Amino acid sequence: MTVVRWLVPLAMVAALFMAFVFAPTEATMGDVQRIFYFHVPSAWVAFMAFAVVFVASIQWLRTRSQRWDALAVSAAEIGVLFATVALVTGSIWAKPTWGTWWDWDPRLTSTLILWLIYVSYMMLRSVIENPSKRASLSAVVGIVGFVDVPIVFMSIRWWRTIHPVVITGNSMNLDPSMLLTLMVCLAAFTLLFVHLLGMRLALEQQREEVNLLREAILYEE
Amino acid sequence: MGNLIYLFAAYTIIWLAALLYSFSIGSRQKSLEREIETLKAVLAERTS
Repeated sequence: MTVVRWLVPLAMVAALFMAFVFAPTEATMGDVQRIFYFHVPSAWVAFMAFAVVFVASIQWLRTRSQRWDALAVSAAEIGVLFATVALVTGSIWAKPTWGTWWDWDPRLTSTLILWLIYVSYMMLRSVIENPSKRASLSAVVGIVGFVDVPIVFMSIRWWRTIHPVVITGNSMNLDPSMLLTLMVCLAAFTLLFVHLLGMRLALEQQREEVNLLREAILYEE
Repeated sequence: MGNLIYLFAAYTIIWLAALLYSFSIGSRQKSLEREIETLKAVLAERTS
């Protein structure tokens, strides 16, 4: 994790350089298109985080090991953060491009539903006191909610949409230098995700230590 | 020039979100560290 901690700032500086200096200005949208280089990786991190929630939730239901629940809640929190960033930056890009902050387009609507599912996941966790019950019920939401991730990804292919389609079949609708910039930004955000997940997991371990110490004190009484 | 304000706003929000979240984790970690120290002291007192 120490290597990742040092790599994250370097990767983010490289991503900024690629997005603002290396990548050419898009002909139709102009400089506002550069939002794309951090907007898409934000959505990518949210998808990765929700995939981690999905796997960790299955593992919790299989093993009942607390570390899987800790992983699920850590990833869900990061997923909600980056889904929020993707929604907000997408809306900011939409205003000068589409002339509106929001449109009930299939991609935008399915992403908003995804965000609501995982906000509900976090809210559900905050209202259940029993740790085992909390982990089991939220695991069910974490597994069922993940169904929306492929729907969000495929929405621009299944339905008529005004959202740009970058990946079509096996090809990319992007200039090679723009594609390289996007790849660097995706790599930087993946590292940022790993780093944040490590930090958030450490927090869950501390919480577990607090619970164990409290139990030990109660046992002593 | 008009569109640059949107670019600035989007990148500001991304960086603020990442920084505030990192600070939030750091602050929660410090708070738990203090709680762990207090609980350890209480436990040591009870067992001695």
